[in-house]
Amino acid sequence: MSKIIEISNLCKSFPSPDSEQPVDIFSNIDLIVEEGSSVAIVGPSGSGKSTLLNIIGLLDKPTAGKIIVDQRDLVCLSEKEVSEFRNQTVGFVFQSHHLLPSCTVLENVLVPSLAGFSEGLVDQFTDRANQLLTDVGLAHRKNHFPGQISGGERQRVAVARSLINQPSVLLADEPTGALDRKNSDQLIDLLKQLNEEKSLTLLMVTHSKNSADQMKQSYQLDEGKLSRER
Amino acid sequence: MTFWRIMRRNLFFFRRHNVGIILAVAMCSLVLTGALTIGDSVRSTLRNLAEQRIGNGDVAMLSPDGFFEETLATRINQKLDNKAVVAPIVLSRGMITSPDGSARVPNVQVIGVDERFWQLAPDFAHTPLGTWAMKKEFSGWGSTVFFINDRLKKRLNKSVGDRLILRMEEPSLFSRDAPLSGERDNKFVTMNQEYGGVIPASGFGNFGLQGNQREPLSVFVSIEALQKKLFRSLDETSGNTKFANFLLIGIKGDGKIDLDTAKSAIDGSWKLADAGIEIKNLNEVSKWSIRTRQVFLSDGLVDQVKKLDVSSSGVLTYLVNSIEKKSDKNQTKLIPYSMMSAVEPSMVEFLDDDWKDNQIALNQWAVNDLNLSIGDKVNVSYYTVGERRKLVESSRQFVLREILPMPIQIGANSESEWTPRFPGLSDAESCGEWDTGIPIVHKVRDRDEDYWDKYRGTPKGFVSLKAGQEMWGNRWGSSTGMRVDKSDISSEELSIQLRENLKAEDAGLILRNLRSDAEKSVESPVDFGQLFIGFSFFVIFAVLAIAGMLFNFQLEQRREQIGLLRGLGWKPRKIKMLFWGEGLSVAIVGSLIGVFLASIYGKVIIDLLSGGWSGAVTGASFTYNASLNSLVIGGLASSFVCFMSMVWSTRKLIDQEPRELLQSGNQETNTEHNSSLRAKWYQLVGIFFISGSIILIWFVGITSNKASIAFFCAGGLLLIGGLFLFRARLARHVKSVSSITKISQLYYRNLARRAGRGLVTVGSMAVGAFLVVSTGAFRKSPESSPYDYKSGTGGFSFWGESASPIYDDLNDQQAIELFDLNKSFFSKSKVIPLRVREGDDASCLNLNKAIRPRIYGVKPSEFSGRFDFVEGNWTSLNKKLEKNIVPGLVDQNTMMWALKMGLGDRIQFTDSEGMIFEIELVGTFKGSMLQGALFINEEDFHSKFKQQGGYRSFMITGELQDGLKLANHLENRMYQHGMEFTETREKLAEFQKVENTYLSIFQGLGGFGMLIGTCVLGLVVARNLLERSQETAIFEALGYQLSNIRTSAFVEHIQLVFWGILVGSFSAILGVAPSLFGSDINKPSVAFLWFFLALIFLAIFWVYLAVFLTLRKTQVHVLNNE
Repeated sequence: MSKIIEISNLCKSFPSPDSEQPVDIFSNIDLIVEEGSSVAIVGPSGSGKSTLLNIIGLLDKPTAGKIIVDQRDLVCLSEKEVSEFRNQTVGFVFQSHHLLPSCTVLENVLVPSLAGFSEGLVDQFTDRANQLLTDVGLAHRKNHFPGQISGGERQRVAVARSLINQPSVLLADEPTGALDRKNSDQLIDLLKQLNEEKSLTLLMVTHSKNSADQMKQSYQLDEGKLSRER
Repeated sequence: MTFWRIMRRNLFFFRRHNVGIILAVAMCSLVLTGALTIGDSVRSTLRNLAEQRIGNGDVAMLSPDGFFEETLATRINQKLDNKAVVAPIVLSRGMITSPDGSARVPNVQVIGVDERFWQLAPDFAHTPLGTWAMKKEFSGWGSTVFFINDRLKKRLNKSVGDRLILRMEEPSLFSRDAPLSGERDNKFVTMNQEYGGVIPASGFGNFGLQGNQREPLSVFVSIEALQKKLFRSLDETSGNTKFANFLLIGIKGDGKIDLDTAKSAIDGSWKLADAGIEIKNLNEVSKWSIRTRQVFLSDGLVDQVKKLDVSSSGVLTYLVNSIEKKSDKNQTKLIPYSMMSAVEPSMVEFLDDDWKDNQIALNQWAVNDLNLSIGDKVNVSYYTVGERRKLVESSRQFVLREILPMPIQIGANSESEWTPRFPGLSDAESCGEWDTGIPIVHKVRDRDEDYWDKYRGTPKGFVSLKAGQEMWGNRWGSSTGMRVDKSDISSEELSIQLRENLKAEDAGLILRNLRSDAEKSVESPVDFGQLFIGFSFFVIFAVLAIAGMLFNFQLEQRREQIGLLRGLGWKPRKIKMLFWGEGLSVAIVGSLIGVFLASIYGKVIIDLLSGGWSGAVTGASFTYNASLNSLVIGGLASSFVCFMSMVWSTRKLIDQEPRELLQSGNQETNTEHNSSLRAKWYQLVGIFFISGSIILIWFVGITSNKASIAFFCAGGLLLIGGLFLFRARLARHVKSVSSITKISQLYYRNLARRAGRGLVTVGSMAVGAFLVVSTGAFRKSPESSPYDYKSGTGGFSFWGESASPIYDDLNDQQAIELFDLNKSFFSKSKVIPLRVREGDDASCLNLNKAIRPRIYGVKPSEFSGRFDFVEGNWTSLNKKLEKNIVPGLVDQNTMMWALKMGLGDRIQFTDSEGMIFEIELVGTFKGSMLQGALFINEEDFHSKFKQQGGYRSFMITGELQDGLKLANHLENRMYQHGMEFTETREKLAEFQKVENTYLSIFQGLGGFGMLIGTCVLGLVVARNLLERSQETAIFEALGYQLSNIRTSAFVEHIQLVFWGILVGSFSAILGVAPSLFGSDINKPSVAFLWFFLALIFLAIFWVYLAVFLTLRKTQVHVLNNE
């Protein structure tokens, strides 16, 4: 299995309001994620889990260190390359669904395909979106607006949206954080299914031990250090 | 920690957020306070002008149609214990020219004064008798030099030392309209003197009675020199020229004379002689004869004499054309031009008590001349004065009943006791010198000359008073004397009793409270403060919107703070106090800055009123002067309205539940149902309005005279229709059936999400642009068909005035011969004369309030069918109203704006005999050149202003070329009368210019407000984007480039600009289409194109700035949960 994510000596700190010394979130983190694996990162609040995920998804910048995703060094990308990476290489699922309220479920799924990096005909993307909605069990809801579906369904739409451009890695930041137990389980099952059936690399940040246990690997981020649990 | 400390902390912490609000409030305060200070400045300037006009004069006493002895001034001052200054003035009108005729100013105010007048000047130091330097500069003050005021100096453009010729009409003893008033033509006097200098306004150079911001055209001469010229005829009869027609009463320096004190002093001072009343001792009979300088005794005076407890009788002596014996063979013998008296038979011993009205007594001389016997029929023919001084010869047959003895011979410089002093007759040495104003058609024989030499104006016959009054009575009076028995009363007692019974007003002496009139006149009918607040509506609206939105933004950003306070148990009321208290504090700071800067705005506007907008104030120049009241009111008002705007924009936010407030992010969902149905409905309504617009313009047509208003309405319909179509477009995008296939569809979808906000933005821009540009459609154009009777010119081509009155009908053959006019000029044009009673100009050209508007007396039949009426017509002037109420017509604009009255309202005036009467408004003209005055029936004019003779205003009928020929001809031929004509279209255009300038100001300030208002668009964009920051972040997270997101946000919002300007400009262009493409010759200026360009540029700029500032940095941080 090849490495899809390779992180070495990654540091992140923020300036302190009280002193000149910055506050370190984490430092010298190393992480390797194999292609097709599913990895959970757990840790207490404020430990920097989401920050780490954002850095991997290029939603944030590290203070120091090296990140290679899908054989691309992410440290020195141009703005356009960053956008393309977010659009084509990774898919993101957030704690909140962040669906566009003005668009239908189907349209929300299609939104990433309109960013200008996707190649293919509109019909192909529509077919793919329909298929993804079928995969997440929401084909019957495709013409509904986000306001007309449940929270769990919205999060599943968000998952479908993250997959429209067939990314190499799916980054999930507390995807079940706003869901009840039943919906959480359904979502984790969906993510596992995608990982197993489509060999999609899954990197998930979660508080939930139950969710973390569903992943093949698990890491603990605490006091700025990342350690493998299993 | 206290409540106030939290507020202070918040204000300090969010100080950067508050800068924008402070600037907006400052702008509001600047505009509001500035507008109020403009009102102050106009009022203050008008007040200064009024003070310069009357100086220290408090009360005026004038004799509008006569004169009084100058010594009355001294007597009044004695009654006032010599504490006041009572300045006698001779006030006249005339024409001033240079000897070579190169400079000519008709209708100037001629003011004859002495040193007492200068003592009442606003600043004595600046009068010819003021400081040593002034005395030196005005060394020529005396009898040989003219001084003029600044406005006349500009018109004449002459240098000190140049000679000027002043022509005036010699005042008549009584109206020249009256029979036997003297020669037919005016008598002119001329003064040829050096021009000595300019009297400044502070030195009383602008003295005048009419409240007007336009200075009068005045020439000042020594009263003595003027009296010698004007009253030379009186010198021959009374040996005195010391007469005046105006007294100015005041106190030099501090102190005021009130009207009652002045009235009391005048009542106690004037004598019968001042009113021209004399009590003559008759030698032939034991009677006193009461006579007046005006020859005919007024009805009021006769009534007062009759009220005395004495035996009195009236006498009416008249010049008859002939006394004729009717022979059986129809052959006649006549005595030409004889005096004849009418008496009460019972009151004279030579007529029997049973005297009939058809009986006559002739003296022996006449009987001999006509070879008459008792019982013979005698025909008496005489002239009466008809309409427009046309002499009408009438006759009456009498039977000779009594033959009187030969008359007593009259000595040198004497006159018969029956005959008053007729001008041009009594002082004639021979019949050949008679100048009575009647044509001499009968041959005057030697024996007639002989009779004149021996017996002068001794009546040759007597008839009953009733018969005489039936023949010769007229509106000036029905008696030439009243006889009182000496046995009943002494001359002194008669004088005292008569004087006691008469009021100053009965003697034609009218009092005016100058100070009060001046103060009232300053209350301009147009409050420029309010006017400019109205004009600045768009600016104020824009800055209020900005202030409100900025404050709302700030609170939106602090919604979690509000939610927290709510969650912590703060009552909503206290939270409102905290946040709105912050708003009020910011508003006060902004207002103070605005008040401070208001003087700049005020001065700019005042400069514009003296420059580009001078049409609104007819060239007046103002001095900036702000009152403390205005500054305080402006500051408080702007603080209040801005604060209310903030309260309004945040009223719902603070009342939200804590849960909603604490919930970050945009959780809204679009749940609009049936959007496609709505879209269709909006589309249908839009098409309905646009169709209505098309139908309207189709039916009216672009060249119709109703095109302006019709196209404005069509533009309005198009605007509404356009906005509905825009709304339909938004509704269609709310719920698209097909999937999004292009990013542009997302932009529309986003726009549709906030349909209300988008519609308001587009609507505001469109409505603003439409109103600002299309109000140009209401600009008044010069008449395209001035010869149309119903147009604003009434179909007249010229309207002119003369400095001296003309008594005859210029169209009449007699006048054509009298003035040596060319009859051919009258073939296609006619002159319609109007009588004028001077008064205040109540038109929009006068910024002062008209206290006593000018009155024109017209013959309704000559104006029949002319001018457009809102109410009534010319025949309304024939209405019979209550006693002392006269029907009057007025222009609608004058009635509404200058007089602030309505139909049926009445205005009080004083007639020439001091009696109060009222003019009731019975009809209104529409959009005419007749602005600024009241029009009454000539007959009513005669009855109210009996002593005022002649016409001074003239309208010329016919087409322009014919009218021009006649106007030029009259100006040349009647040069001495100071006749001057103006094209009626110019006259109308002068009024229209005022209205058009108001529209320009509205468009200018409105356009400025619109341009400021584009800032609101930027704020709307910024707010939209801030609300959608999570959406932006997710786009970024999904791989959209920030630059693309910025572009899409820009494109999304630029649609608002596009739609706003598209709808607004199309509507506006349709609104002004008659001016652009139709027959309307008043084309809009290219400024409106610049306005649109500026609007587009600024709107794009603000959208770009808002997008750039809001999305200059990545928004992905908002996705971060930690």
